[in-house]
Amino acid sequence: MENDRTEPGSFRDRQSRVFYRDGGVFRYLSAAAAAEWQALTATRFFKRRMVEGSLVETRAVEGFDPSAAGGYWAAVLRHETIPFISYPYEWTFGMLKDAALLSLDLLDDALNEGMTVKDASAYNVQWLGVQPVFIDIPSFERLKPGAPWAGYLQFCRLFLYPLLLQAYKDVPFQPWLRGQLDGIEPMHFVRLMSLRDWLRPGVMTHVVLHSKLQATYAAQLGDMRRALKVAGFNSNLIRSNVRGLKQLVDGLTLRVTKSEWSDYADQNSYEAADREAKVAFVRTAVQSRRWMRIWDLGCNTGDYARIAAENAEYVVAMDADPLCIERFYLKLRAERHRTILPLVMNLVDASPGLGWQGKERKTLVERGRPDLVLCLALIHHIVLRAHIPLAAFVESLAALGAALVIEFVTKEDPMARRLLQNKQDDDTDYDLPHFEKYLCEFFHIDRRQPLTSGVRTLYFAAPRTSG
Amino acid sequence: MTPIKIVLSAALFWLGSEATALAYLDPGSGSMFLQLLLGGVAGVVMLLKFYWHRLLVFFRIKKEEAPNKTPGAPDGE
Repeated sequence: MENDRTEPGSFRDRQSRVFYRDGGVFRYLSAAAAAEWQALTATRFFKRRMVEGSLVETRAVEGFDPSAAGGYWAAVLRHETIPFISYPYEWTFGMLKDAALLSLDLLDDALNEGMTVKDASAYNVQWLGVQPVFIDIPSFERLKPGAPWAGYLQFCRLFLYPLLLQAYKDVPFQPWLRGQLDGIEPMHFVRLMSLRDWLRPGVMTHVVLHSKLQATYAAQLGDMRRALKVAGFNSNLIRSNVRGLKQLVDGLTLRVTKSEWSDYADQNSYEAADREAKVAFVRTAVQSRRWMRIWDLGCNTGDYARIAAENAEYVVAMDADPLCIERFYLKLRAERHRTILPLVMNLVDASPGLGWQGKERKTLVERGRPDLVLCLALIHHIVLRAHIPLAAFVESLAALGAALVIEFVTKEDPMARRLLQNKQDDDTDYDLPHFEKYLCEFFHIDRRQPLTSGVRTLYFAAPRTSG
Repeated sequence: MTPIKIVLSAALFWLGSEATALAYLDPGSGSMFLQLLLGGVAGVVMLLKFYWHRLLVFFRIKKEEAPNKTPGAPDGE
C-alpha cells in the first residue's frame, strides 16, 4: 500500500521485511519464512513466552493478498509496537547481560522443540520498560539435521565480548558497539586479553581458540557445514554450548562501583526545602495534562523520571553516566517497571544515524520525539563543562518541539563553581537574564520558581511553535 | 602449513562443493568448527571422528560417504 513505510534497518534477512502502516508495525514474510512461522506457532514456548512478555506479541494478518505486495511476500505479521526503540550501545552492562541471557534462553527453548534461532543479534532485543523483549520473530526456524548454531559468532561479537570487556577489563563497551554495528571481531578482542585474562572463565575457548580457528579457516573454501554434518554434529552440542554460555554470562559482574555522578543524589548541594519545592514543581508540571512520551535528560538516580511516569505513557530516562543508569535499571527491574526505559546517553554526543546510508540505526530524535522534556540540574554541565553555547543548547531543546521543565543553575552554585574552578570561564552570557532571553525566543514561560538557595530557578515552558 | 592444516584443507577439498542449506548470516568456518569443542564430551568425540574420517579419506583407505548415510549422524531431530 502506498502509505506503507519500509523500515530502513530491516534488509539483512531477505526472508522478511518490517514496515509501518497507520502507526502499526508489520512484517512481510517470504513463503519459506511463512512456513517457519507456522512451525513456530505450533510450539509451546512461543505461546508461553508471548504471555510472559519476553517475545514480542505477534499475530498473522488475515486475508493478506500476496499479489498486492508484488508477489514476493507470502504472509504478513503484525507486531506489538515497542514504545521507544533503543540500541545496545545505549544499554548498561546489566541490560546487555539480561538481553544476552534472554537470547540464550530462547535458543534453548527452541532447541527443545526442534527449532533454532538463525542469528544472535543484540539488535533483536528491545525493551518494554525494563522487560527485555525479543522482536525478530523470523529468526526462529526449524533445525536442520547436523546444522551448527549459525549465530554463535554473532553472539560473541555483539554480546559476549562487550560483556567480557566490561567485566574483565573495566572498559565501557558502549563506544565499541557504537563504533561497529557488527560488534567486536574475535581477532581484535583476543589482543585486548592479557595472559592473566586467558585464565578467566570463557576466555581460552570463546576468545583465544575462537580467534585462532577463525584465522585458520578464514581462507578455506570448503563446506564446513557439510563437514560437521558428516562428523555427526547434532543439537545436543548446541545445547551444551548454550548452557555453558548461560553459566558464563550469568557469572559476569560489573567491577566498578563508583563513578563521578553515581553518588550525586547523596552529596548534592540541595537543602531539604529546595528538594521538596523542586519535587512539587515537577509534579505539578507533569500533572498538568497526560503526556505520551517524556524524556528525562540527565536523569541521574531517576527520582524525577519516576514522577514523570506518574502521568505519562512512557518515560525515556537518559544519563551519560553508565553506572547511574545501571543502578536505576536494577532498581526498576526489581520492581518490574514497564513504563520507564533507562538509557546511557551523552547528550552532547547523542546516538547518530548508523549503518547502511546512516539509516540502519536511527538518531535519538528519529525514534520518537517527546511531548515533555525534563532538564533538571543539567544545563551547567552542558554549557560550563561540555562547552555547548547556552543559546545553542536552548535552541536544541526548542527543536524537540516539546514542553519543557528546566532548572537554571547559576555560576554561584557550588556544583557550577566546582566545574569552573580549574578553567577559564568564557561563558559571559551564562546568567539568568540571558537564559530567560534565549528561553523566551522559543517558549512561553508558564511558571517560574526560584529556589530558596538563590542559585537555582525552575521553569515550566511551552513551545511557541511546534516542531 | 602445519600437518593438521594440510589434512584439514585436503579433507575439506575432497568433501566437494555440494550445497547445504545456508543462512543469510555467515556463521564463520572457525566459529562453526569451535562448536564441536564447545559441545562438551560428545563434541570432542565427534571432533576425533571428524579428523579420523578425514585422515582415512586422505589416504584413500575410506571413500567419502554421503552425509545421510554417515553412521552416528543425527536422525532429523
